[in-house]
This record gives sequence, C-alpha cells and structure tokens, in this order.
Amino acid sequence: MTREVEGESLVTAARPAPAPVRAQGYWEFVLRRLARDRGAVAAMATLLVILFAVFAGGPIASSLVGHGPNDIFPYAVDDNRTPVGPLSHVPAANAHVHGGPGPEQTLLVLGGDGTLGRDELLRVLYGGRVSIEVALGATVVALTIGVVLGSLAALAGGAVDAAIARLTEFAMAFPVLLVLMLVGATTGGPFQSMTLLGLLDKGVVSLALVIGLLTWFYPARIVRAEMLSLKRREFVEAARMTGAGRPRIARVELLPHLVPMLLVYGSLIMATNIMLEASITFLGVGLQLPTASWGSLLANTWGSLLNPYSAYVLPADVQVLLTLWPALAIFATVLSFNVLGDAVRRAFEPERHRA
Amino acid sequence: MIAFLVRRILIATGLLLLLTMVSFVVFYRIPAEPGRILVGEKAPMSAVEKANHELGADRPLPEQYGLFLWRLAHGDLGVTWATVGDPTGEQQVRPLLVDAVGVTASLLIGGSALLVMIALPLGSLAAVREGTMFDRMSRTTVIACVSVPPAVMGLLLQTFVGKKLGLLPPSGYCNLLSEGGGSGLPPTCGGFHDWAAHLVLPWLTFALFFGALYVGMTRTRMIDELRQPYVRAARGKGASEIRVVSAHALRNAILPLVTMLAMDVGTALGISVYVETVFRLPGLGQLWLYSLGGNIGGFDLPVVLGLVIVTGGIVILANLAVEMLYGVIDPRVRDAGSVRAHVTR
Repeated sequence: MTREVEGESLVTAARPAPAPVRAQGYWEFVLRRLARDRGAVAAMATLLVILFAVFAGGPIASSLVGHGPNDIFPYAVDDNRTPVGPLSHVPAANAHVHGGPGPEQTLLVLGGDGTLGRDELLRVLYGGRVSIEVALGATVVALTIGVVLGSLAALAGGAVDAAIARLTEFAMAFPVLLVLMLVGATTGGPFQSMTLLGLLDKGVVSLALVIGLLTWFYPARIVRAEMLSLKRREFVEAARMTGAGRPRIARVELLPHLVPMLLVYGSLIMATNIMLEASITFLGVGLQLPTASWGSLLANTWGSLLNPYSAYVLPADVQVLLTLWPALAIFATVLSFNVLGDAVRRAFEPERHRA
Repeated sequence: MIAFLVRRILIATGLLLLLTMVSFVVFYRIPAEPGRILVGEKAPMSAVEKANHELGADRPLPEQYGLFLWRLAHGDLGVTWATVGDPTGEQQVRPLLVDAVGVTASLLIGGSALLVMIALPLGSLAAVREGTMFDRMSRTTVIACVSVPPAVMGLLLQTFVGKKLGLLPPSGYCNLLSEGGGSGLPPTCGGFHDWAAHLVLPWLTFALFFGALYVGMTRTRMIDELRQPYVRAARGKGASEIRVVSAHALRNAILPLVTMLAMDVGTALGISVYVETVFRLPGLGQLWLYSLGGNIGGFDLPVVLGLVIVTGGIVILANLAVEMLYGVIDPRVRDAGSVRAHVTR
C-alpha cells in the first residue's frame, strides 16, 4: 500500500525536468531547521511584535491618545488615591489649568499607574524601550569581554589562562550590590548622561555597563571551553602547516566557529539581562533610571523591594493589575528569547538535541 | 596533588584579601558621610565629623585597612558602626554574620534539595521519552518558569498561596534549632515544623527559577549517557528499565550536575537577595541591604567587609572544591580552571 503511494509520487515527481542538484550551505540547513521549528517561529514573531511595539508603538500610541508617558493626570486618581481602571476617559492633563475639569477627554487604555495617574500603557511601551536597550547593551558588553578574555585564555594558555581564571573567580565573588551602590551614588559618573547621539535614553549606558561587567564571566567560560576544543582540530593544524600565523588562525579559522555559540548564548543572555534590569531596578538599590522601565514600573506598584512601605499601599486588586502589565511584558520577552536561544541551539546541533 | 592543593588555597586566600581591599577602596569612593549612621540625617557637620572620628573613618585608608587586617588575623570582625559607643552595648559583626549565614544556608540548601528533587526525575523522564509530548511539555513549562523574575515569582507565590489561600506563612523566618524568629513573629516560633513551613515558598521560588537550567542539563546528559555502550550492556543483562535509568545512567550523569550546582553558588547568593527581601528572611541578602544603607541608616563598613569575606569566601571555596573534586577524579584537570570545559561540553 505505502509502496504504491511512494511509487506514484516518484513517477509524478520525475515528470518535469529534474532540477539541478544544488549543494546546500551550512547556514541554509540551519535556517531551514529553524523555520521548521514552530516554537522558534512563534518566538521570533513575538519578538518582532514586541520590538515594534516598544520602539515605534510608544510614539504612535502617544500621538493617538494625545499625551506622553510622563504626563500626570490628577483626575485619573480618586479620593482614595486609587487609579482608574482600564479604558477610562479622564479630563486632559492640563484641564485644571483652565479652571476645573474641562471638556477635553483623554483615554487611558490600561488605566492609570499608581497614585500619579500616568498612562500605564504608554509607560509599559516606553519602559520596554529602556529595558530592551539596557539588556542589549549589557549583552554586547558581556559577549565582547567574554569572547576576548575566553579566547585569550584558551589560545595563550599557561600563565595567561591561570590569570584570567583568577580574574573570573574575582568577578564571580565580587559583591554585586556594592558595585550598584557605588555607581548609583556617584550617579554613574560620565556615563549617566551619555545617550550615544540621542540614540539611547539617559541612564541606559551606565546600567548596561554595570550589568555587562557583572555577567561577562559566563560567556568567557563557555568561549574558553569552545576554543580549547576547536584549537586541537585538524583544520587548525592544516592552517598552521600552510604557514598561517597565530593572529590569522584566531581570526580566520577559529572566531567564525564561535558564531553559533554566540547566537545561542546571546539570545539566552538577552533573556537574563532583561530580567536583571527588572530585578535591579525593582530592588531599588543604587541606580535609578530617570525614565520608566519595566523594573521601575514594578517598583512603583510595590514600592521598591528594599523599601516596600515607602510607597502608598494600593488596594490589592489594583496592585495585581498594575503588576500584571509589566510582568506580562517581561515574561513574553524573556520567554521568547529563551525559546529562541533553545531553538537556535537545536538548529545548530540537531544530532545532540533531537525532538 | 598536595602542592596543587596548597598553591590553590594560597591563591584563594590572596583573592579573598584582594576582594576586601577593593571593597574597602570602593566603599570610600561612595560619597557618603560614614558618621551619619551615628548622628542621623539632619545632624550638623561638626557632629558628623566627631562621629567620623569616633568610628575611625577619618584616619588614612592604609591605616584603616591595616587595622582591619590585624583584627581579622585575630578572628575579630569588629563592631557594627551603627552601635559604636552605644551605652546599651555594642553589636559585634561576627554573631550577626553567623545568624545570617544560617538563614541563607537554610534557604539555599533546602532550595537546592528541592531543585534536585524536581530536576533529576523530570530531566531523566524527558530524556527517556525524548521527542515525545511529555518532553516538549516539560521543556516549555520549565522555560516559562525561568522567564519570570524571581522577585515577581516570589511576590506571586506570597500573594496567592500565602495570603489569599492562607496555606503557608507568607513571610518571616523561624529558627530551626532554637526558639525565636525574625520579622515580627512571635518568640514562641521555632523548631523544625515552623522553620520548614516558613521556608517552603522561598524554596519553591528558588527551585522554580533554577529549574529550567537543571532540567535541561539533566536531560542532555541523560540522552548522552543512555546512548553509551554500558547502557546497552545493562539492558542486555536483563536489568529493568527503571534500574538502567536510575542506577546506571543517572549515576554517571550526576557528577556534572553537582559541579554546576557548586559553580552556581554565586548566582544563587545573588538570587537569594530577592527571595529574602520578598519573604522577609533575615539572611545575608538582607544584611547586605542593611549594610549598604538602604533607606534607614548609613553605610556600615565593618558589616560590608564581613559580608565580602563570607560571600566571597563561599564562592571561592565552591570553585576550589569543584577543582579539587575534578583534580582527584581526573588528573588532567589539575591545570587550573578548565573545569567548565568538562561541564559545558
């Protein structure tokens, strides 16, 4: 039965002129495996939507409703200092200037945020931009340091390797909170106001640097392990026999082999860093971002973790609702990066990770 | 081996001293007035200077550090700055640290035990049922769990399981061995039952966060092990599938996992700050926040340095232990620091 069906399909397939057989490249295979992975496709689609929402969606939504993420709406908070719920129309921010609540109405799609009555939706969107910028910057910093030190340790070996191993241990054992406190107390030094030609929000560079400097040892260890196994392969031997020098071997033969690993761990580290940003800002130690971020939205609702009773305590249901939006945003982004990283790993090493 | 051991212990000690020195310098880079911890926020400058003198914070840095080392050599970590000259008695740093270590150790050891109890069966089962619905479901679940920030996970568990359902105490800590507890709990609380009840939610928060990493790790190792010839030999001998998986394959897969557990101790200490803060556990994380001023007092240098020694020491010791372990098992590893190579590949 099956044999017949197979035979039939063979016959029909053979009728048109046979397509020339073409060798498929390594990357082509990887991309094809990735495209077949439903989880990976869903994660990429989600990430595209999130990226569009936080980078373009914020300004668009802002111009649609006619107010910004930092505008305060006194009429969006009732006498008990409880903010209005989702889909509320409230008098415009400047209405009271013209004598009492005027006829101008403005829409708060997700309601107000805490006791100031700012637009929660806009704050989630604009906050996401800051969170993603911080995470991306930190990932770039961590991967750069990790690749440089990890490769150096593996390729130079000996005393250099031992020195870098001790440096790694030092970085692992160094008190994170102390660093945060220092950077916070000195307001991040010259980095706090650095925006890279207005490309980034204020405070992003210093927080990204801090997170990057606290997390580089993970990629460094992985790069070192990878490099150690790579440098003993035959193709390196072959390159050396043709007279290639050490720098050339590192650049041309070895570094390209790190790309799969960097994509996998880049994605996973992105996920961790978004979480770190949220947790550090939520903790309320040291660094305070001047603008909203997903972490600061959490902190606005609960009071910072460090100082929970400083903020006015909102009713429980409002608190849950206001935690839900930034938490959902963090969850969706982190989950997508994690799923994507996992899928990319499987696409590169199908024999190791069937399923 | 002995030479290797001695050399590594010496390096570890040096690293720890360097850590305290850097912390010392970093601490004085924070533009704060140490004396404020004694005289309060609004005190005039003259009072602050007097307090600085009382704390010894006005002396030159090398002298202060030298004094610290001298005391350390005698096992003395000094007195917390907040209680210097207090007529009701000065608070020594060491007992503070001992109490906090007990709490954090309860959290981390219990949490790791729960983690292992979740990760080993789930990971092994996923490996045995590789590629099935169960495999995919378990992976999705654990990835979802690791995508929630630990602080939020803690708050969710605390709000719903602790407060709404009232199943478990939402916060606080009770001592295991003696009566008494922290964070406004009645002094009668204590003993195993109270201790465990207050720690279930923190343990769960901790285990759920690290779960993904370890389930994934167990699964990959087990898939590799189950393909080894010795597994086929065991099956050929007629061993039951359960025995093949648990007694043969898992036993070989477990060492890298234990290693990873030891190497993640630094990350675990970092995560415990959030867990302790959410659940009001008076552990090392809370002490860190206190010593760095937080909202109330000022910066408390003797406590900071004590914490640097304890947390830094734990991380360095864990690394050392892993290297020793591998050095015993596999002599090739004795060239320092290449343990990760064995673990990650």
